[in-house]
Amino acid sequence: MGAYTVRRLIGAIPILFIGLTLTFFLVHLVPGDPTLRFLDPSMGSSLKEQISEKFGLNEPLHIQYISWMYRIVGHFDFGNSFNNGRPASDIILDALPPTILVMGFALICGLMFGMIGGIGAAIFHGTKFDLIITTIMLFFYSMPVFWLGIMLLGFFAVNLNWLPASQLTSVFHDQLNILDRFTDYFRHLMLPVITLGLVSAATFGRYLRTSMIEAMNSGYVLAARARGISEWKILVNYGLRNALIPLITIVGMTIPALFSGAVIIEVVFSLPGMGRIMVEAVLARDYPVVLAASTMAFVAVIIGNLLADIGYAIADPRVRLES
Amino acid sequence: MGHSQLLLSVEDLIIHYQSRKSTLFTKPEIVSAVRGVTFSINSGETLAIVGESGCGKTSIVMSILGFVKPVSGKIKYKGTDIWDVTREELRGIRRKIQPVFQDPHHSLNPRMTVGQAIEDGLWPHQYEDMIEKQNGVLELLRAVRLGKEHLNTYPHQLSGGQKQRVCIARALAPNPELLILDEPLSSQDLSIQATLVNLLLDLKQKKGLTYLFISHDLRIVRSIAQQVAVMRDGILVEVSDRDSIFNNPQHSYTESLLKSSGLL
Amino acid sequence: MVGAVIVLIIFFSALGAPILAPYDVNAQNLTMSLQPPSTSHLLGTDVYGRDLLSRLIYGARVSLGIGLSAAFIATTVGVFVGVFAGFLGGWVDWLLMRIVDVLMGFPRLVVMLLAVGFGTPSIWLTLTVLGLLAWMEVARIVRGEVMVIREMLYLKAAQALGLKRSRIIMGYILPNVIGSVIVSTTLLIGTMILVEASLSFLGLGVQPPNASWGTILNQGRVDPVGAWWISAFGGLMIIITVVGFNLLGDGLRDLLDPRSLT
Ligand SMILES: Nc1ncnc2c1ncn2[C@@H]1O[C@H](COP(=O)(O)OP(=O)(O)OP(=O)(O)O)[C@@H](O)[C@H]1O
Ligand SMILES: [Mg+2]
Repeated sequence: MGAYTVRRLIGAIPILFIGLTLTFFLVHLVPGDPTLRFLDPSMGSSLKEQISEKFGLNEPLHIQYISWMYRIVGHFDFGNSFNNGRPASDIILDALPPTILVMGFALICGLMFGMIGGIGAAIFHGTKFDLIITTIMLFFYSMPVFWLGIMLLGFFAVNLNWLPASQLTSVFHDQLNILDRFTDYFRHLMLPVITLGLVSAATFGRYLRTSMIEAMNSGYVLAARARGISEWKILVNYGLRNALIPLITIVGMTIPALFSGAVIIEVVFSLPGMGRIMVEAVLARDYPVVLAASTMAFVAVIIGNLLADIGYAIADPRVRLES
Repeated sequence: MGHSQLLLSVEDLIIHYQSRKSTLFTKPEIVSAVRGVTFSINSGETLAIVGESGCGKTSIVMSILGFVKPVSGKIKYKGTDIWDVTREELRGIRRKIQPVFQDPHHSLNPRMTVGQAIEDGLWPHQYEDMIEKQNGVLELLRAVRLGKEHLNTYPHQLSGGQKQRVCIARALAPNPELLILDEPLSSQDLSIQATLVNLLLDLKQKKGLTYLFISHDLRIVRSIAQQVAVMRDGILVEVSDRDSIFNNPQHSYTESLLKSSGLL
Repeated sequence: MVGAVIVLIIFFSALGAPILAPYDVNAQNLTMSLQPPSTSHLLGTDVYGRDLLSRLIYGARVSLGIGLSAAFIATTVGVFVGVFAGFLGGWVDWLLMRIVDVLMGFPRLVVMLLAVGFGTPSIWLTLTVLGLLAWMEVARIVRGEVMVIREMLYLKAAQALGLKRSRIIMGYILPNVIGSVIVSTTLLIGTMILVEASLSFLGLGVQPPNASWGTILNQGRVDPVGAWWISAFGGLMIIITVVGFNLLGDGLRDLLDPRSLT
């Protein structure tokens, strides 16, 4: 097991490196000038040059790339924000917790709903119940996440006024006792988490239903039936086992999408997370923050995938033998 | 016809497969499928290789066709080492060596009609106009006793025997000198086997072909081959002419093969 | 097939927009700002008093156009890369697949943000970026199938005939992967429509006065509760369309399933 983990970790290094490189060049090669937003075109070019120099933008691109890479790897230094001068890494680390909370809870919520829907539909395969569940899952699967967020927000937060519509905490958060603070977080996270959870539940549910039905129609299940093993045992031992283990991989593969979802959800619910920082930084052409944020997003995804792979290896010992 | 001219020679052929990719941490696992095989075929002859399943027969075929690179050894076609030529030269040599595989169901492109499949084997510039090309295809179909009505059918509309005939027709299209038949009959019914054997014998005579015939059925081998090589676990245990193999086997393995098929 | 019907209806209403739309798309009428659905404006009006139904019908042109072209670009690149990697194998395959891994590992919206956000937002930039960043799935599927086909006896037979690589690819490989390519393209159109909507919603995609469904939803943000009809109908339009493409894709998959073809 240990050897497998080490092997996977080492395998992630070139991926991370290629990823960082692609991010850097993607950002720098797309047309658009970060100095422009500080300047009026009329202010003349000497000021523009001063600003360029301050931010190191006048160096040749490959020099910028090498020093950027060096500072990240060597010092975890992503440079300072063009906007407010704070270290980009600090800005990102501050923004990380809300995003991780939303993603984590949404994942749990999505797995729960997804399993109920997917497994339920598979058990009652071919009935009206299956049709209804399948249709619902298809709708959530085809839905823009942000739209679901707006609808839930409009209904539960504004119309019914049951839950807060934005931010992670209330204004009086600091004056609350521990328990109430916890409830306060919970109430603020409820809508974003449910929104993202429902949409990912559709992905998981659709996958589970298909793979369970496939497993239940396979040769060895027919053989087991012929041997008179009870339908319930077949369902648990063959159907569920065969569907749930690959689900770990599906979860790993969904992490990038989950992150994208979190980004846009944070904008809808004005949560102070990675997504909002990123959108703001992109609009402001704040290179260091954008690069830091996408690097962190990418690292998070790689770690997520790694965990999923290791989880898969624990659940299914065969993969460790193959390469 | 140049009598007993050396057409194909295989010298000390060794083939390994890596069953697992090597990584930083694991050594590749090596299966040695062919462990030093030497034989040669004269033009106009039929050499049969017999041996049980998994002994390495198909591996030899794939290596002769240029698909599996041997670890060592030489494969010479008319004196040219086929693993030591440019891609362009290899293409030329390949057209002279045509395969017919064991499984006709997977040997035909499911998206091509019989006509298109055979047409691909004719050199594009060999037949200038379409009509001539069409006639070329029809002639080949007739040679394997199929008709015009099969021209526009797709493989899944044909029986196993018919598919194998199409494969033979396609193999004949580039006017090959050597036909490599890798258990071409073992997926067929007995009655079809008999007609296909007759067809192959007939074609060989008409077109002056040379056969490398792979099989594990000694009865068919006896009716078709002049030379027989008996293979076991990646090596040839006995190579001789047909009559000595069937009447006077030297190796105990040959003997047991003959016994088990009721020929001794 | 329900999917095909939905897709056709949306498609033809986009084509026939000038005939079908009850009002001029861009006709502003500030006295009619933010009117709820009524008999004169079936789906209500937006802030500028423009008829929402007309804008959604015209929006179909932009959204569908972007979805189709982006999916087309992605498919072309994906098939090309997939065939290349699968057929050549070796280090070419290794490198291309690592690039695919990396690009798939990036959260799609983040990459789109980077690429679109730093340029000048426009329909063309949106659809190009969408297309150029969505080919990986297709490439993976195609590569997988090519690797299987490469080992098929019919391919060995074709190679033994001395056929040129171009002929082998055009005659033997592409026709055998085209089925799954069609399926993934269809599903991709739906995804592209969703991603475009997200980008335009963030104000980074299609810019006014052009309107895609995402732009319309962005305008609905001014007052999502008071003017619920903008968000509600805009979103429904997207959902129905994407459901249509997903159903069509699933249906085509069952139809073209290689297992049903012997
Ligand atoms: N691509 C491959 N990778 C790894 N091992 C292989 C591969 N192809 C064949 N082998 C192994 O090489 C050995 C010889 O196989 P080969 O196909 O040459 O036998 P054969 O004599 O043609 O058998 P059959 O009569 O069943 O066709 C077998 O042990 C087989 O498992
Ligand atoms: Mg074989």
